[in-house]
Amino acid sequence: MTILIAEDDPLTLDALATCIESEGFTALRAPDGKQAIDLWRSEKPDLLCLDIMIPHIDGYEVCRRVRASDRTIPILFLSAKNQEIDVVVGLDLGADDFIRKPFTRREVMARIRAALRRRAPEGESEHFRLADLTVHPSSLLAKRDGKSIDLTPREVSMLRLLHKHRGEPVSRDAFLDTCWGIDYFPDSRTLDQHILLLRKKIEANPAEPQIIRTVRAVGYRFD
Amino acid sequence: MRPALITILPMLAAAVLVMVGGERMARRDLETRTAADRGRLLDFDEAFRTELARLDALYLAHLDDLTNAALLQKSDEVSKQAANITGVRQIRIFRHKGKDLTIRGSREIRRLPEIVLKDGKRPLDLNSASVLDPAMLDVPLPAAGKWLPTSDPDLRLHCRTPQGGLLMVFLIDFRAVHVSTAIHLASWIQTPLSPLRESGERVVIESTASGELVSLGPQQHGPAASIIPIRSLSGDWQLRAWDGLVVTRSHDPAVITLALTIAVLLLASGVMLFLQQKRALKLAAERVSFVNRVSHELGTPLTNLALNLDLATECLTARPQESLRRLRLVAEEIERLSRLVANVLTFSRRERDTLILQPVLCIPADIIQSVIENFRPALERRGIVIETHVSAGETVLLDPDALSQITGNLISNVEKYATDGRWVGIRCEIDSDFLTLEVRDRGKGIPPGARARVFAPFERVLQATNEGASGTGLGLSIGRDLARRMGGNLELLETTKGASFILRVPSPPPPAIVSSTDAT
Repeated sequence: MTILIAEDDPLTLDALATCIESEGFTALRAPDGKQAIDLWRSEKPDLLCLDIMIPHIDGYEVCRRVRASDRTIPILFLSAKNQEIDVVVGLDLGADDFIRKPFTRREVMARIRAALRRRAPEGESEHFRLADLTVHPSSLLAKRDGKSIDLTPREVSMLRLLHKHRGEPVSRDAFLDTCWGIDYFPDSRTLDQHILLLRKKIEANPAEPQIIRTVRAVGYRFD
Repeated sequence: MRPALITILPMLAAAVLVMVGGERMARRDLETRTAADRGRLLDFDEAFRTELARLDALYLAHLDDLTNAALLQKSDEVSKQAANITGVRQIRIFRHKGKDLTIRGSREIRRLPEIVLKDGKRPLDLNSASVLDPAMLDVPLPAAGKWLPTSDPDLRLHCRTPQGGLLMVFLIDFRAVHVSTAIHLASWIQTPLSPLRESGERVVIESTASGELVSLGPQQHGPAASIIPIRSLSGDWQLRAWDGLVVTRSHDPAVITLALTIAVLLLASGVMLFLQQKRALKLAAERVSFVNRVSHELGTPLTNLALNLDLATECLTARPQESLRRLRLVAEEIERLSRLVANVLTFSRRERDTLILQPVLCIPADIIQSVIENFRPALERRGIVIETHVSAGETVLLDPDALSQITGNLISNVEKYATDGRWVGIRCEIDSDFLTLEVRDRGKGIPPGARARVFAPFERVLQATNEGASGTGLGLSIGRDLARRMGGNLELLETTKGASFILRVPSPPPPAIVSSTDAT
């Protein structure tokens, strides 16, 4: 999934893009409104994160132009403009959410996932099962006994890989190649940390995992 | 509009009230009275009395004629004659011998009261009937007759005894008599009244029965100076005359001046209040806006702090270099926040008049270089080339914090508003005990119309959302204030491209230390 970030502050742009990429999304960086429009046209991202005060074409105008031709793409405003009128204008222009600065990584990622889920309702999309867990990739959700579990695109990708190779061990390299990409060189601890977090999320008892089992010296397996 | 409603309008109303009250207090009315011309009035009175007496005599003569006619002529003929005499409605004739006789006079719509003798025929309506004493048949009445009232105040009885044993009673409608008399007098009076009219006398002639007949002269004031009553058959008349009155009005200039002064003061107070309230409202709005701007300015660095700290923590062990890079960014953002807080504090101290500079011995080049180094990563990230000519390496006496703050604000403006120019030139030198710092960029520059107000607090030239830059609007205001407190000034230079600010402040060398051996 691709997320376009339009933000003129280089530090915010870089930090936000890194946060987004660390969850398995692809981040497109636009330092001004004009580049945001160009990237939206050429790359067709799945979600837009727009600052309001950006050079050349402001965030409101970017939102207006995008909404004129795409009524479904989730648009989030991330702005330090914090007055009620700014929020109202943003939402009236068709934005799905307005995140006031300062925000934390967890908050912005949760809102991005929520916006993507709203766009792709679980019932209408493809899904696969891992034991008693049903995974809905397009809405970044897993469900057990009617209870929803938030997932990142990378976690969905990891679960999909396990599901695809059901009964076979999946090597650590296969995980890193498939879920992180060839341009990224995470170390083995990164994978372990992600597996640990994923088990906490999806396993009924993370101490005795039933979905992601460890295959010593190889990787992981789903039976 | 609302401030005007609660300031200027009440004051304007109060000023008008003061002026009206002042005019009343200052008013001096001088009354000059001219006595009525008694001689002319008495002449007219005599003529009027004579005319009324003539009319009375004429009417009685008509009644005489009618009495004689009633004795000699037939009832029909008498009736016709009676109809020609104003007010005669009926003639009743009572005799010792023979029947009572009734002769109709002029037509009358209303029901007339019955006229009967006491022992005679019983009247139908006893309340309205006029019952006469039968003894009147035997006792002769005066030749001019006798007048008796009836139950109707407009109707009166005129009784005559032309022969013994015969009583003739005329029922006269005096309302008709009054009307006829008034009509006659209205035309008659013009000639005798002309002397009074020509002399401008104030006279009213009125009757109790028919009201005002004539009114001469201007409006009368107060009770009349002379009242002459006249009684006649046609009613009671009154001649009322007033003395001439000329009122000369003047105003006490002292009172008028005082009222005018108070009114002007009230109006001026209203205008002052209005302006003050407008200023206060503007200031309040600016403060609210300032608080919003400060919180807005805090938003981005705080976000950067939160995100970078999170990312730095995440890769602390796995990728320590990346973690270090993130922590450096955190330090940069803390620097940015510190500048913002310093500006807010300086502004606050200036507002409370507690801003005091503390000059100490320092090297300006070091201070300016340090500020440049703080900004270097941020400027380079934005692709801005930094060109410096900093030669002020001498030790001088000035406030290093103030110099640092001014330099920081000037470079921060380049970072925010002149990124397009991709260049900043910083020149600093000391010449003749004066430090000169010039910060020049090649950005959009400052529009000519905004040059005067860039140094005003809260002013921001670029406020549109698509400018991509925000700010508190305090940087240049604080910069100039600090420069002036240092004994110098911060000015905007005329340039053809970009903006160029120049700071000139005194930078005296340290005082010479004279040792005791040098002194000897």
